[in-house]
Amino acid sequence: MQSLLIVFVCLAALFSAGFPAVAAADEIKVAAILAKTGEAAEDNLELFEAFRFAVNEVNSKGGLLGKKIKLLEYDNHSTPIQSKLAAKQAVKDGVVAVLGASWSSHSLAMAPYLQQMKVPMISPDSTHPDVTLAGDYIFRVCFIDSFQGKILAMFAKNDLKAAATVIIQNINSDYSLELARIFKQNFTATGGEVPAVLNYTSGQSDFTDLLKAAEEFNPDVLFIPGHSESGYVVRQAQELGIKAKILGGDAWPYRQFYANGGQDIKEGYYTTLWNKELDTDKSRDFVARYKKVYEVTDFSAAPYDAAMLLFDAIKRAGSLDSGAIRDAIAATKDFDGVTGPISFDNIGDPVKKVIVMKITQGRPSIFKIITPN
Amino acid sequence: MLNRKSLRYRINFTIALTLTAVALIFGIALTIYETHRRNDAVLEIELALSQLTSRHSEQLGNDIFASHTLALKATMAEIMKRKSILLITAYDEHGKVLVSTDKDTQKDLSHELMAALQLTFMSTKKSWNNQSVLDFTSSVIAYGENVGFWKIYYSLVPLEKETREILFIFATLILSIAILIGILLNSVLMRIVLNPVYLLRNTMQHIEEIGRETGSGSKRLDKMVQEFDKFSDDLVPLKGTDNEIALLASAFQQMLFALKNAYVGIRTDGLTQLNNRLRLDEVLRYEFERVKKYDGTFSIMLLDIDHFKKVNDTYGHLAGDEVLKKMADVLKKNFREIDIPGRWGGEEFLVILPQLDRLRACRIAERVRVEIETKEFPGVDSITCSFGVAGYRAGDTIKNLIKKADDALYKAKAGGRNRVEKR
Repeated sequence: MQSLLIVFVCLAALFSAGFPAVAAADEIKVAAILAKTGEAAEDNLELFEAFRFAVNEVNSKGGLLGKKIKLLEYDNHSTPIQSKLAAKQAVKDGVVAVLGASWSSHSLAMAPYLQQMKVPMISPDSTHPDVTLAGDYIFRVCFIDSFQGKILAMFAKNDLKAAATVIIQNINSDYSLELARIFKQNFTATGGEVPAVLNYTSGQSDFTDLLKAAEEFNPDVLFIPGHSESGYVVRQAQELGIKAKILGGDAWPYRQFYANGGQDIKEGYYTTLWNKELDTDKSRDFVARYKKVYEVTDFSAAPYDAAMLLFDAIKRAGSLDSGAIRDAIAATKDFDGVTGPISFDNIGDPVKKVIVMKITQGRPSIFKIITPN
Repeated sequence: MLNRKSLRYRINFTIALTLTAVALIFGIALTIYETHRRNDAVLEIELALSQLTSRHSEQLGNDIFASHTLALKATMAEIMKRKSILLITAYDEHGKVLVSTDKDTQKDLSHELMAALQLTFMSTKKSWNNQSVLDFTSSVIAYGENVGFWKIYYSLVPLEKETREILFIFATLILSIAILIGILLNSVLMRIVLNPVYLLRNTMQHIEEIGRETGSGSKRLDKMVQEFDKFSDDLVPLKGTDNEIALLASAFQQMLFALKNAYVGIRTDGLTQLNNRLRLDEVLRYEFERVKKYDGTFSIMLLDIDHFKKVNDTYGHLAGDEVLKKMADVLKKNFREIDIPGRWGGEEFLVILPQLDRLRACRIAERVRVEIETKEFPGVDSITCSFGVAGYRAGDTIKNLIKKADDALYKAKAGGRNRVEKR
């Protein structure tokens, strides 16, 4: 009687998982949701590479719980709606957890659904504070903008000695808007002045009018919290002869950013979670291994840490039950990441250092590292 | 001026009524046409707006989905640059207002409306800020997902202006045509019917005035007939047609002729066609009145055929009648136009000679006597007449004057006949 019941349960499981599940019985399916098409595709490729690198590394060492990890890659088409649709598809495909997304707008669209479906999600680098507020299944391995924005504001005020900063923000990007808001809040709180916040939209590549408008306020610093399109802004600012110092956030250092104009920056600053120059054993070791497969960028380490942290949690959970995995992720204590140790607070955010980078003649280097107190 | 009972008033009133009815029918046709045209125009606007929605649905959908209010505002500001779009409001998937170009529009969509809007659109006409708008509400569909809604107020003012222009132009046209046709029909009515009628009336009045003139009744009648003939040419509105007015005029003419014939008939002696005793009495009375009024004079001449009984006895009554007719011819030819000869009775004739005194009357009588004496009367021997002339004197009466003439005639008969005597 009991054996009959077991057969029944097995059959039910088979049917509910569908036929691919039969072949994947010894696989752990993990989703990577990022952009393969649209404006974020070039930038997100750097993160896909890091995820693939992590999965390959684990699989080549025998996998997890005796199973191979299967990375299912989903294209979110660089839009919020399709990020949610991709998450729906991933859940339908039976993934145990989701890695991604990168851009905050995409993570914000996915998180409520994954929370509702109780599928753990770890974003490598979505810094918008609201991402992890979606619920207890949502985590990230990077710092958040309320911290980053404050660091940037203090840096502009104290290190760059800026009295007036003009902000140029992308109104289609939750990341850009939030980082701009927090920067402005902190910068004006310390006595700085933000005479103007200028808006642009996704897909824009000509910023001449915007920069001319910015120049009229005669700012000491131009704060540009954008993604790789910020490369156009900085190049055009230099072409217009704008003297203001140029400052950006952690979404700058994509290859595409440098190609768009970052490589021509005479002097500029940005914040990042990690850089290959970071002088730790773990980091040096990672760079040595990673550069054999892919080009190392500022975005190589965070996805690697996110993936490795997830695999570590699955190992500790010892099961593929999403609740158990979530509990194991939440219980993570001083995970030894490439970007530094990771522990989660009760929201799902880690406490991370912020690295301030200086770009001189198109070459970035670590300027200072700020540790939260 | 225009009597309500007049033909002109009634005909014009009928024309006006007919034209009003025709104008009304055209007005209704115009209204139906304009309603169709407007409905088509509204359908076109709806089509354009739903195309606009699908063109922007991906971008809008993502901005609505991600609550990118600034981006929505920018997109909406771009769309607002289009003419006629007055308001755009974007709602999230629960129908809550996300962004509106009008800060007062903060009303969320009702559940009923959202249920009706699933994957489609609705539009209604309404008044907003004192102008007519098309309230277009559509679901925003991105990647097959109903992610939100948006509302557009599209101004119908240009459409209404067009309607007003079309109605004004066509109403002016219809009214002008109606008025023109009215004027035309009126002028045709005036020219063909009323003017001849008025002319006929004026002619009759004129003829009536002639009738009141002094002078011989038959002459006045002649004149009346002549006057009528003069006018009757003008009475025919369209030459060469036998229209009713011409027939009417002709009937009047016939009547005048009949009247004249009747009048002349009772005052004419049937055999001689000379004035009869009745007519002579009338003229005598008339001349009496005249001389009394203007202090003039006139004479009368009484003549009798000598031995007329013998002519009858010898040659028969027919020959006698012929003599009387011949005598009438002589009398008609040998007096002035104003003199009135007439048969007094039997073989006796009376001639009234206005404005002539007794002596001049006698001279004329003598000339006529010779004329008769020398004239041949076929079938009979020579004929002679005896004349008695009397002139009016103040204080005479008609009776007294005739008595004088009679006495003179008696004297002429007694004196041997074929002679003129006067009193």
